[in-house]
Amino acid sequence: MSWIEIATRAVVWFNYFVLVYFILLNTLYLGLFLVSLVEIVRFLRRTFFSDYRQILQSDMTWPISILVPAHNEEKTIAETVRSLLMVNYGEFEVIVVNDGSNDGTLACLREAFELRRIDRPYKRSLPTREVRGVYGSLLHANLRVIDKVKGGKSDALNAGINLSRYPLFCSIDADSIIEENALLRVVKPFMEHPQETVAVGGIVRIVNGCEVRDGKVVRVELPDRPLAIFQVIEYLRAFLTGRVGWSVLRSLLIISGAFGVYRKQDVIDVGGYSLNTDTEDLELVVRLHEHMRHQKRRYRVVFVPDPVCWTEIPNSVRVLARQRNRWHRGLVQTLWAHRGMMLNPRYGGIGLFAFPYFVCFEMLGPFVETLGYLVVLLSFFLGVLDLQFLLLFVAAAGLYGIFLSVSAVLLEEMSFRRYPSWVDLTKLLVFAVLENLGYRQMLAFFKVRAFLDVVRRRRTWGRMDRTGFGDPLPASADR
Amino acid sequence: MQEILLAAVVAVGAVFLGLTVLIVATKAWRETRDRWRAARRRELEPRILRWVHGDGTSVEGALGGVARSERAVVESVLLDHVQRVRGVERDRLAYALDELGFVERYRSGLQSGRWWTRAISAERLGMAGALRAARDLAGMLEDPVPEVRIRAAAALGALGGEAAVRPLILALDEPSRWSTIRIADILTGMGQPVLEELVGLFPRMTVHGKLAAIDILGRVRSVEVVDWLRARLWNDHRDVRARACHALGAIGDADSAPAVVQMLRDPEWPVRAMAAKALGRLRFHGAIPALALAVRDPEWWVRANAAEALRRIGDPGLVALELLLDDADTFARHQAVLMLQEAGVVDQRIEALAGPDGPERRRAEGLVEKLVAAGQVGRLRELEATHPDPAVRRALGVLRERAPEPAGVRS
Repeated sequence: MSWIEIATRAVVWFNYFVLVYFILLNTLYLGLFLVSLVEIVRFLRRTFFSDYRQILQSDMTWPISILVPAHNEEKTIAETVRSLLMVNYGEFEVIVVNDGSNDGTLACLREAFELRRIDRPYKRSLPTREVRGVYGSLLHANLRVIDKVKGGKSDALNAGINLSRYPLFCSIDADSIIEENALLRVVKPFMEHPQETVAVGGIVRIVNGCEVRDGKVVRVELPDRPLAIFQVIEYLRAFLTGRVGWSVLRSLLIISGAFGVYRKQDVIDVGGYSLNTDTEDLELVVRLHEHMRHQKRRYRVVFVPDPVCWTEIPNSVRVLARQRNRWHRGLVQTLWAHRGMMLNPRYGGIGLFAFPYFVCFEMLGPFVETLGYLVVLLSFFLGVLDLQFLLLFVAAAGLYGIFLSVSAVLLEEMSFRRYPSWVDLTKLLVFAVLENLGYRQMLAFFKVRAFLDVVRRRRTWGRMDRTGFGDPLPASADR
Repeated sequence: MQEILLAAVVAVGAVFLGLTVLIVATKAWRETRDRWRAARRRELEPRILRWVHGDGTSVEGALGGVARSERAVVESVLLDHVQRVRGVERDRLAYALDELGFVERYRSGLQSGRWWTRAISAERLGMAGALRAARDLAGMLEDPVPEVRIRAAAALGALGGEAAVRPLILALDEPSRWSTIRIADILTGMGQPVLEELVGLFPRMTVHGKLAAIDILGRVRSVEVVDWLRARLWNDHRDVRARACHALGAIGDADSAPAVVQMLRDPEWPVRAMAAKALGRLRFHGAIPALALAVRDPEWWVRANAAEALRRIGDPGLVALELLLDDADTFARHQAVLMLQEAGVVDQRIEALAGPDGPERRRAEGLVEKLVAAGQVGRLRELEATHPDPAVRRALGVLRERAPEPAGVRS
């Protein structure tokens, strides 16, 4: 058999593999969408009876510590903290951890909140880099700022956990804003199932394009830039059809670092946030699952689609590439670090279903996709390219992608309707189509590079160019 | 294979188009309906309110009849206002809900197979003050869905029905704290009969229910239950003892303080921590020696709460905290430093460093030396750098150099 024949046969077999892979993946997506659809309808009915005002006013509501790790966040930090201090919640404290910033983050906080140094002893439940000082605010008794030597986001969160006083803590990114009732809504699962709930994540939405005043999002609009609109659709799909579905299946592996609430003691029991990963949020949740299963405890890790955290997203391809590189590196590191869970019946649905899904489709999916493009080229050179088959396959894949994105828009329209204008709805529908013509392929390429970076042990956090909430975005941010 | 793919493309394309049409049509319908309702509301609301404030007998007559399509608008106006007003106006709005047949509709809604319809109906019967539905609502307290039971109980509470008290108290056994808070709110608003029932049913409740019951007693702040709560300080379950301490602190009955002081010697740290907190709320001077001892407790939270309690007691507590600066226990010293800083004692006292030599200045110097010896100099350094008076800055610098900080002291 000649080399050409071997290559031809390999290409044909690869085509079959891709077809099976495509059918499996999209069946899973469809299943997740249907599960999410049912759950969101159920959630909306239950939310109707929430009585948030009673819960807010009650002194029996559990107090919560809000942790905000900040590294070089001088543009947004004051606005973020102001918005956090305004949240509707009975008893809470805000702890900002200045993680070795070399810009004016600490100075900005000192000036905005009239900070003064306090010698606060605290319980060192988790090891961290040196804490240089703790500050209290003369304006807000429930605001604390920790100034520490740079140790990364995980280290900053661990320092915040050490200093926190309350049984629940909420981690929030310094470039994020949470809605007034978001905290009440995200704490609800802890109150409903106090013995079982370990961690709860809330939906993260995109603040680019919205009008922010005094730390509040006062007008919601889609961003102008196509790259940002693609990300809006991606977030809608990931949160409304992905995480809702996984949460129902009790197999949620990701709670966004931008907005998640945890039971403090459980996080301390597993050793806090890990310093050895690029996505500390994902790794912590996987470790919590592992720990709970080892302990044979009944537990819940929940996603709530209603609480809203608004966050800033990359406006340029360069920054997006860095961000996605880090996310994918973190995914690969976490899956590798906890590989013992893979297909292990001891971990129930997590081991038998969620873990294989993440390995086969989330981690390796971009490889299959990229390889598919290369095989098309190879088929062309080998003269075995069935153009009609290829076009039909691409059309089916593209339409299916569009269907999933439009489904996410439908879920949004049915439930929360955060983008009320017709213009925005039209944009969402149009970009749900366009997303499949370049953006998705670009992300696949970023992920393949990230995988190779893990293999080469290359680790960088990836700087996010902040524009701040109040100012209009500079034109340069798009390039 | 290609036929299958072609069929898949057509099917997915059709679904996509269908979804798009569905999204657009739903949005268009919803917005049109909302606009129409808003317009009708603008017209009907003033007429309804005129009737409410007038003395006409029939709301339907005043509105010139209510068309089927307008019923939802009229209902929302009546329900919005019935929650906001009291007295005659509320009675007339409730009468209007009855006259227009809404009350009967809610009563039949209680029999619905859908739990949310039953819950909404129960809630609205309470809003409408429908006394004749009290028996139906009492029946709903056996509903299998907790949300319906809570709504029914709340509605009964709103109707003033004592029939709701007992089922509500027993519902405290449900593990959901979300429900507990809402039930506690209803029970707290019901007053005296609740206290007696709570105490009476206490032995039958689960631990979760017992803790909630004690919390409610603390929230009601009735001195009548103080003796009963004191007896709970010796309960076998540590959480019951801890919550009893908390409740006594919330009620603020000073006579209970000696009993709570004894809880500072409880073998379980959560009880000691809660006792310290309660003593801070009671501001009982007699507790100062025991609290000063508790600042050296092996458990972190007991130390922190005891130091906080001393600060809350006021001047005598602050004196005790200052004495703790000489304590051999590092943890106790650190807690004392923090509380003295939070009470503003440090900032206030160092002002005397710029004054003439005398007892005030020597007291200030003594305090600074103790803070330095405790290794807690963060605030002192800041004051040394930022204090507006150069004399204070200089004095702080001299004092810090004279008494070097101990190395590696940590809490």
